[in-house]
Amino acid sequence: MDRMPNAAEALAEIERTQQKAFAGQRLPLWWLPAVVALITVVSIAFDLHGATRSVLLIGAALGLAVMTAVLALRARVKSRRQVWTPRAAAWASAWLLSFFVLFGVTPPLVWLVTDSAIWPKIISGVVVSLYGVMTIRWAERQIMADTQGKVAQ
Amino acid sequence: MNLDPVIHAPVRLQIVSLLAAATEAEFSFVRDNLEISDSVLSKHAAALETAGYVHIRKGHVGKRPRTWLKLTDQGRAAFREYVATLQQIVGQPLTDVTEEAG
Repeated sequence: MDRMPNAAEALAEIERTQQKAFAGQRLPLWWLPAVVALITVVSIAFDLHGATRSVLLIGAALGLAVMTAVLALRARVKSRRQVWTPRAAAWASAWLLSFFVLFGVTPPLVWLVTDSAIWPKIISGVVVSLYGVMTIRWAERQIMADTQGKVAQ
Repeated sequence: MNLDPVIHAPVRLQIVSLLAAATEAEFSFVRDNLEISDSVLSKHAAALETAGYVHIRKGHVGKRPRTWLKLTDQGRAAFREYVATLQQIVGQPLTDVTEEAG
């Protein structure tokens, strides 16, 4: 935009600029599987005992702290709550809820073929990680689509 | 209806619009999103800071220097008024113009 815009153009430019800024704040694809893997390690640790359990729990806690720190260091913008709409919040909530559903549904299916206490958790972690990677960009687009038309002030 | 000339300039409009959606944004994020050079952003950020609309904060993340931009309360109020004025202008029905011309 090189010349002075008229009023309609200025309003359109405000919305376009904000939408583009939101689109630039995407979670790295590797982050979600890494967090799911660490949560899976915690889940498995609770089935173990002694030093192994302690090591796994401490390692997972440190890993989750590192993941949080990495996200904080990468953050180049701190968004305001005002930009969320109820529909966008509903999409985000539904997507996050689907992870819990998948975590709950996968182990019983694995128990159909094994009596192991640990394999269902490992497979559940892998399935949820893949689901996260495959759906994260779609979820972001859905959430973005429902913030359109709302100019943050 | 007068549009705030500090905000209405093309690049500054984009900067203020982006900052309005955030509590704070890093200099490089603003630069990359608006696809402008460091010098252009610095010039317009300084103009907005002089007008009291933007606060520029310099810090470090580890050993790396970082610069953060945020709208001041005055800047946010000015942007709200600017948007309201735009909406008033755009919302004016065409019949008003034809009646005045007649």
